Amino acid sequence: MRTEAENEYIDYVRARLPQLQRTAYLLCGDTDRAQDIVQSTITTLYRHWRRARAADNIDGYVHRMLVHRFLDEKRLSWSRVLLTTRIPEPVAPAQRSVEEQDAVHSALRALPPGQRAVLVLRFLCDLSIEQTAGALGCSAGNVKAQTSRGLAALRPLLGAQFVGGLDERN
Amino acid sequence: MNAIDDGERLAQLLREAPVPAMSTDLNRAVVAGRRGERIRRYTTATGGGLVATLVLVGATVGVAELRGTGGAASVAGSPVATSPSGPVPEQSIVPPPHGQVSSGNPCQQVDAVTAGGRTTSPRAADPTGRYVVGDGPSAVLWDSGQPRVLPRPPGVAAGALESHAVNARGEVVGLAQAPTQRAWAYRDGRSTLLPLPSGYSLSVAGGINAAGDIVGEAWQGNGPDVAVLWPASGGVQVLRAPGTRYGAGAFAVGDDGTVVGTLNDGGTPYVWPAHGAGHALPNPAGTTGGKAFAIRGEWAAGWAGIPQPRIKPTNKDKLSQSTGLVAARWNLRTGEATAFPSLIDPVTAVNNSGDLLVDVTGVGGTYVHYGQSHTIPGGVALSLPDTGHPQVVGMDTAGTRPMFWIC
Repeated sequence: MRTEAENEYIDYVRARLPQLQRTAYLLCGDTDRAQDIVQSTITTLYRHWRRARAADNIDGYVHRMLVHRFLDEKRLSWSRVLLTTRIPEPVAPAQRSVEEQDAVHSALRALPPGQRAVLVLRFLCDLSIEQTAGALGCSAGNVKAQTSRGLAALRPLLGAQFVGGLDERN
Repeated sequence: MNAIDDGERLAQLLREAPVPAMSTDLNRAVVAGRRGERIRRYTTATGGGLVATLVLVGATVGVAELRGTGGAASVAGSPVATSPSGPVPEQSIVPPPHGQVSSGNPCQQVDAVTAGGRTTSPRAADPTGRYVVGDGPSAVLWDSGQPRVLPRPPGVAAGALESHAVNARGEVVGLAQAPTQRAWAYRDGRSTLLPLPSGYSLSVAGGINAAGDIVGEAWQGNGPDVAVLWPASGGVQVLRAPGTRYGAGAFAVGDDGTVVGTLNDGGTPYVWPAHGAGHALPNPAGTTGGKAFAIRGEWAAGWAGIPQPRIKPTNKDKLSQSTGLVAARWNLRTGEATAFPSLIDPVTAVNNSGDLLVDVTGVGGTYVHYGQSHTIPGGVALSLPDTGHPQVVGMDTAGTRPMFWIC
């Protein structure tokens, strides 16, 4: 990669890293795995930066990579060998379980991975139905159905936080 | 309460949900990405039978000429002292059990030439050592130490060429921004974009054999890659491979037309014989998955994955399985597959004897010859000639001149 492109890549990843980490964590609910997913995603992104920067929607492109990594990791536990050749540096464990701090994580973990991915892509990453379908390799109708089912499943799981939370914050 | 309201509420909850701190390392991604880019692209492929003799002669002449033309003809160390004294019996190329290698003396640099050209990215060398190629503002081809700026394909701007491989005839292939990504080739004094397979608009070339057959990949939008062969006789062919989400990639082509690469399913080493259907390469014992980056004669080489214990930081009593990369080699004739657990970087080149060149980003590389590993102390190691003397061809890290090491 040429220097100019590499600088572009670094600027982009620096700016998007918090969002990528959030997305990965909400998808998998595990700090280690989220870290691996993000690390491998940004490494892959380096190699495909030319292609990514040429995409109409670079954020959509990167989210697609991240979700594929998430879904692939479930299918191929060794897929990380593509990119991770060193053992990651340990992270200090959180003083208190994040899951305990917010019911959203618990509710998301109760959903099937595909349904969880649809909700995270649509409502956190702000992808359209079509973009979400493209990222997950399914039809727009499937995304709509998964969205509807996912939201229906979350209502009883999140209870008042889901139904009334926004009103209170507003 | 409708779905839109629910969606808005969920979006806010997702944005505000606490997320633990993570130690994602951007610098590590850049280093690994650079290595991957080089591994993917530093593939040379020629060799076999009669050609090996020609390669040997070519390499000898090449070095002699370089010494003569460069003016800086100092020989660091004594090649004689560090080289095998004669032919090694065929059976001695079989590595020790379990693919372990022992350490030998470092390779000695033969300071070949001070060239007038400059490249910012050393890329590839042909197996004879005559040609070395790199790119920067322009693609530069060194022929016996003499740099030449290559012409650009029509419509390609300055600085928009990458050179990924060169063969023993000085034919170069790579990636052009034209302005979309397109495979290109320098042949017969001209640079041209290679044709696209039907239904694809983007491509990259990564390997070329002695006859001029070229391999690479093509893709359309965000769709999967397909492995592609551009025969020397013209045209373009898609190499059939089992369907995977990300498709397949071809990295190198041997002189007999055998193509090696990977299925993009996380990494399955794959071979497309010159005649007949493609198939996965066997996993060396104790390994899972891999990729083949290089081929010469009956040998292919790349990496394989080995499980390794990893301590989960959130629960130090629990071991989880992670996977590491180790160098791997396949004998395409016998089916032998060997992993080298002591070499934790992938192989980027192999020669007719099954010697391996292992890329070590930024610090030279490792040359494995008859089960002994030799350190390449600097520069960027690119290719392994089929010479009687263990020799490595590369370029200094500044990209200013070709380099040779005798091991």
